[in-house]
Amino acid sequence: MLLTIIKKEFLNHVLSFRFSVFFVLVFLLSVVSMVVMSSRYNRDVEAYNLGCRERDTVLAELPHARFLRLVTTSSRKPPNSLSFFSTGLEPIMSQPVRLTYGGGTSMAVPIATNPVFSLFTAPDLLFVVNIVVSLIALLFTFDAICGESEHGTLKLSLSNPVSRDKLIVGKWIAGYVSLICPFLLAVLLGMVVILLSTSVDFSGEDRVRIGLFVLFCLTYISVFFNLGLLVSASVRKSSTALMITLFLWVMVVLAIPNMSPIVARLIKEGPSAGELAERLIKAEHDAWDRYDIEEKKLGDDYEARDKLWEETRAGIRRERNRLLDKYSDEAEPQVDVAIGISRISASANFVYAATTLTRTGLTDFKNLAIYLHEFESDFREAVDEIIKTSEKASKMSVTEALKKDHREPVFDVKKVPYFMFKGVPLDKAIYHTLPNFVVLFIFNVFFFLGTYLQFMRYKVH
Amino acid sequence: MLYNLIKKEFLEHVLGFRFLVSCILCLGMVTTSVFILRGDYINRLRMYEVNMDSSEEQIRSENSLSRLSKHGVRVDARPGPMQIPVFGLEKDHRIALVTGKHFPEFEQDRSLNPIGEIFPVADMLFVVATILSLLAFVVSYDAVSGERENGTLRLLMSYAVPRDVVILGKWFGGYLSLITPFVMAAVIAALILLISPEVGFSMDDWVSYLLVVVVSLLLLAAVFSVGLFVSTLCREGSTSIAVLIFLWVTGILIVPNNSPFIASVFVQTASPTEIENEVRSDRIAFTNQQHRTVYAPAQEDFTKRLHNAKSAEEKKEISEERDQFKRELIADIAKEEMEREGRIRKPHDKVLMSQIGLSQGLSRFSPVANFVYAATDIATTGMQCHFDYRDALENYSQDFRTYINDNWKKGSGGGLGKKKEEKKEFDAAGMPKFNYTPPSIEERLSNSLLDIGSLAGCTILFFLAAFITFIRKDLLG
Repeated sequence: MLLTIIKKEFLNHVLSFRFSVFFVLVFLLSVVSMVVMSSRYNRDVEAYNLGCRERDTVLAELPHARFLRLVTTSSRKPPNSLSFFSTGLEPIMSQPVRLTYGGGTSMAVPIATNPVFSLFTAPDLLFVVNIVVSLIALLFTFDAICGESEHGTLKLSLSNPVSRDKLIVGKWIAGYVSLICPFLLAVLLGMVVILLSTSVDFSGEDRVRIGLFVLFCLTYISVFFNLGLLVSASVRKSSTALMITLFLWVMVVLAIPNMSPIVARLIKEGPSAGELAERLIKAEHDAWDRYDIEEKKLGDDYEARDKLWEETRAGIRRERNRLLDKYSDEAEPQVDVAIGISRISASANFVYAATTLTRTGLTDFKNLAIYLHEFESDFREAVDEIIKTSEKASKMSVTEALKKDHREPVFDVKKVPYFMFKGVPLDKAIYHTLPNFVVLFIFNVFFFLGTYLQFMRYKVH
Repeated sequence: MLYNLIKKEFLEHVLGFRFLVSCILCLGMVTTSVFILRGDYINRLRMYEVNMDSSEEQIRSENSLSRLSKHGVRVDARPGPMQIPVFGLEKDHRIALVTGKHFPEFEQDRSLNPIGEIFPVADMLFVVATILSLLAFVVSYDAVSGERENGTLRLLMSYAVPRDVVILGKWFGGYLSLITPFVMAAVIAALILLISPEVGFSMDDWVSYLLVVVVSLLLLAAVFSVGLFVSTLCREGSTSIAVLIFLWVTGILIVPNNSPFIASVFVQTASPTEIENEVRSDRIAFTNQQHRTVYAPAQEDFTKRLHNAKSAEEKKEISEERDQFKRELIADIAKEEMEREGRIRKPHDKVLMSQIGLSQGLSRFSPVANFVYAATDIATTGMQCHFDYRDALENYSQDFRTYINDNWKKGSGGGLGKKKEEKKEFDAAGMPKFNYTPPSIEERLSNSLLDIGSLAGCTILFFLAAFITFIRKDLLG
């Protein structure tokens, strides 16, 4: 009996005009999004490789190893192979990192960019699922029950010896399957497109992440599917149901997540960047003033002066890191408040989970800041090592080296570390997304139970 | 007759559930967002003032030209209050750092709340472009097809009412019911802004606020006309809503959002890292070449002369000459480097501008994109002001570097390198200051005429289409 109901509902859906419109839409959107993202990924990879080669060239042309302490290199983290699925915070994490031996790392935001990218949200798969597929799920089900009631076919179905619970379960299964089939098909096609048109190589961990991402998509879609059914089983007229579902969709997907950072900024005051800059400059100034006083005492002792210079530099670095860390810590509570407020919305939960799984989320962003500090010290150690070995190998001084028109690099360029930020490891990522999954699951259960109960008591006209 | 029909349509909508929902959404979201973003803006204004103070302090405390050149100057434009309803490109706005060596850059804001990067800000622009446009479709989708389904259209036609009057009545009645909540919300928002003196709305700002509201009404008219047209084509309400949701998704989510990506496929720009590396390697090559061909032989020459010098006076003279030569050479090299950098960046800029032009062109197929461009331009948070500010930064950077070079040549900046800094000899009073004002309201308006015209054209086109279809089509069968 259940199978017959499922078959009837399924055919009902699939043969409707609505379904064909939505099928085309979901398919088109998902595939176009993957194609567009993969072309951008290709160009990112090209730019990254070019950047690495140029960095090597610049370093190779240095006449003496000591110049490593003066030169500024600009590099960025390797492109994220999962950015097709979700752009998230990838753009700001891929900003070029300027690195000097003495000045530490800084992320500079270039001025010359295409601002149209900022006016509209990036159309990644996350965006398609978050906004479009959720809307479609609601539009599939908003008149599942009240629409049939209006048309008179519900009365007809119930006049047969069919229990209500079988009917609602059958509707659920058929509707959900007919909804996710085009979606999964589109994702599959998109993956094929990606694998064919880009040089990306998904590691084992990547595949697990993609699998979890798709799982989250399916859970998220079913939240709206259930919500639509719930509204449909609670009202009499389908036009009322439509209004209610659209209103709920706007609240959950657009209003709450987008308002949460605004509200957070009012509730929690953040630290001031101006004060930070003041303290940083002052620290450096004081350190240099102390250096000048000490330097005079040392007279002509070049070795000692050099050592003093290094020590001053190291002291400035330490103070700088301390101030920056303090600042980041002070900014944390505000971000937490914003996340907390947005947890009411299923959409926000989905977006957090999806961005975390694709290495473009908030935790990855935080880890990048930590990695920057570590990289600074790794870089300095490596440079010191290189200078030591290079000076042991050739006793040429800086002035001599400048006079020579050298053709070969004086040290092994590859020994200078590349900026290789890898993101949050998989187990931590899963741990972070577990609460989001639980929330989505609870929404699903709650809405489905609600639908079930409502349908049992539904008054058919 | 027309007046009665308009009244009937208007009341029908206003007394329905839809109007209630749109009132809640408009009044709720627009007024809340203006109220909260106003607080946000005041915070930003305070931060701007603190940052500018600290920048002044820093400049005053610099005791040598080389340090000033290395640390640079942090500059910013005063945040404009119209970013409260229309945040636009302000989200990308950062303090700029202008140094003596580098092209100006924005500093990554460590107080950046990264959530703002994941979810777009819910300002008035967002509410109108995304939510109210959907609402416009929701109000108009069953204007004709719904009545056709119900049978009331047939009833209406049985009266001595000409068809054109009917369709006009539907348009005006429905549109008025759509914009009433929005206009109320815009007025309340204006009142909120009026009673906040810290926000500081000037006359110019009020004019731009009014214009933004007018352009919003124009967008709603365009979208409403499209909805009405689709409604006349379809037989059932559910068909027209399906088509309209499809159009909404395409117009708001697909077309504008994909346009810059598609443009970047056809017009490829070099990444900022690439350009920087190009500039840097050119600079290193040039500096090395100057070292070899100009500095080294001159240094040898001076050393020889010093060796041959007889008196201490002569030695001192030659030393001074040598120092002056060094200073002038460094200044000339810096000036030449600046020009070389400009020459390297120019073609890249051209390519970027054509990519931007293509993105905008592709996106303009959607009326929502037209609206976003027009509203952000009028509110000083759009593309026009972005480029204007960028140009101002570049010009200031050149002025700053020229100032550094000139003073370096004169020797009024303190010593060379880290070995000996001559303190208290340097005074930053003559330094050029950064002062930026955005283009006037007339300039901004004339820049957005294309987009406003497109919206008007879209409205007229689809209204005529609905009109003609309604008059000629057999709707009663």
